[in-house]
Amino acid sequence: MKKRNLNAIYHSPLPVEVVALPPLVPHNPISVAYYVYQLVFVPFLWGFKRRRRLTAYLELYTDSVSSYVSSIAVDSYEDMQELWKAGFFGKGTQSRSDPTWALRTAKRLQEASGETEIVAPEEVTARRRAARKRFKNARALAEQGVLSNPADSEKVEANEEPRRQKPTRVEDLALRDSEGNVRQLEKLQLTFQEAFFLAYALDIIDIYDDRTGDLVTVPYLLGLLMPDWSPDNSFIVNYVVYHHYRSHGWCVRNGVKFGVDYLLYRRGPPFSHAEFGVIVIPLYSNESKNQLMRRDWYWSSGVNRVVGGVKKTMVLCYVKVPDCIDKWHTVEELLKMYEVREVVLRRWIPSRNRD
Amino acid sequence: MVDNDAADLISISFIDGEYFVFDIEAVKRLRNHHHVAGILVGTLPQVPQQSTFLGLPVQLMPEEAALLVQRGVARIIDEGSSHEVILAVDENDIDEATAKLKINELESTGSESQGQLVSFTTPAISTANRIALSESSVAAVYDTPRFDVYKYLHKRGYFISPGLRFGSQFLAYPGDPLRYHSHYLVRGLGYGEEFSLLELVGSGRLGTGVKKAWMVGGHVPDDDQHKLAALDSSKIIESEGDESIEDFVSFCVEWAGFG
Repeated sequence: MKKRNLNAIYHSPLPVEVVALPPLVPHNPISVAYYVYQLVFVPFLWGFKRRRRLTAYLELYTDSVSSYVSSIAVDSYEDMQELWKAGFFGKGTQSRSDPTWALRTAKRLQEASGETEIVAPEEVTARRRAARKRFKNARALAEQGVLSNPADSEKVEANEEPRRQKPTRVEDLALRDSEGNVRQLEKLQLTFQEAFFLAYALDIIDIYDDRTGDLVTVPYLLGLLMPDWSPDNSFIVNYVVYHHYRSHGWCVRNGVKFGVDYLLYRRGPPFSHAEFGVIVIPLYSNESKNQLMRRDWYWSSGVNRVVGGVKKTMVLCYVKVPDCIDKWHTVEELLKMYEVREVVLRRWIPSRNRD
Repeated sequence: MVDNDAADLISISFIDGEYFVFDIEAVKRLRNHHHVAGILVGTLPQVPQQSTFLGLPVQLMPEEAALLVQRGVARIIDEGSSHEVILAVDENDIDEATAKLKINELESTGSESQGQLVSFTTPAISTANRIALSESSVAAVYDTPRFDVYKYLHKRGYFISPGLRFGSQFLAYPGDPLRYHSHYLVRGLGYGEEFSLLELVGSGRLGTGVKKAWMVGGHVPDDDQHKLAALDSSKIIESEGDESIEDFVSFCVEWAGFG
């Protein structure tokens, strides 16, 4: 099994290219000229050949009263790969995280490929589970004393490795296109915060309305994502937190699987486990409203146990919500009205934390 | 306050907002006949680390006390005001000899009516002189979602203990906690009360991680019962006797861990 070079695959922390400017020596006219050239012309020239903009599609759900964004997804394979490899954005709709459905399907449809390179986290899990199952079976047999009889143990060995005959399923035929390649049926779904970050903060993605095909501009997108325009709208409060940690260099991913709002990875999921589980709590200037939103000890104890059980630290992220926001604020002005502060909460047991 | 039935009533001491049982016989009765285990909270002087093995008194949850009172098997003794009554008696008796006599008298009457109980509480205080609270003192618990789910499970023979360490309101054991691990992390909700999906995910995950299931349930108000009946007739639980639980919906959540 070949170990992949993670640093080479995931070399960029965000899907942007950074150009280092040359040193500027003010009294040297050549240096100044070169500096200006690098500063002004190179980005301008690169604007055409540099990276193409990514494309995402926004799906609206409309009822009699208003429209809601139901999903924002990327369906081009190149864009999906780019978003995943640089910054770990989104989630494959057919995969656990990394959009590897096509790869896995191609592998599955191939005849007995044997030991191949592991490319998807699903495969790592499957392999680990299979190994665990073998171990458990062996242990159970050992406990029964079956292994003490050599004749039986040979029989067990024989049973351990059944050659799996892959049945050809009718529905598998539809997975290939006319050239025999696996069709790309998977999309990369972005959370609203991710999509807005890519569109507003990084400005590298174009989001189109799925039905009309119109380009959704950033202010219009914001209006769609927070239709009520209230200061404590869950989108804006979560976006403030998302933007905050992305700005500090963390890889921020949704933490719903651990019962928290966000997970913070130092570099990204392939490198290490998330270190922190972030819970977003809006903080109002009106104290009685804070009391109303108060959560109980059961909640705190439960979340802390889940997060602590997977060796993460629970971060309570308080977002100070302004009293009112107006539609004519720019996004930047809007974000400046919010304040973020963190509190770490840890379960502490005297007898277990002594050493 | 003492009448004939009262001798059979279990006295639950109400001290500073908490409910305690000091009498070992009462504790046995609660455990064997009413499957209420409670939590031992008293320290044992002879056990050096006073954290794992604990002794009397047994502390009861408000729901346990309320259920026992509602069923007429226990009464709540307000120890705070009882204590003041005793003190008032002592202050009036300036003469030490008469005070001692009084105490002896109290002890003897105590041992006649509820002998063993006296010896486990302060010897000077007899039950006769203590102030029992009426049912209304625990009635505040009756209409809470916590009490609904507590009663629902208790009626089905579960032993129930506090569940804070698992992030839930209760833990439900299929039998005596000394014999069984708990099966459910229990969360009582009002019918139609909203809770976040994050809580569902987190609790489901936590429950499965400790080989339990997260149970959420609520009492169905009368006007919604026909809706429920239309949904699934098996979910209506038939009323039994005088118990007031006719209808309760509960669900269990477990973490499947696909992928």
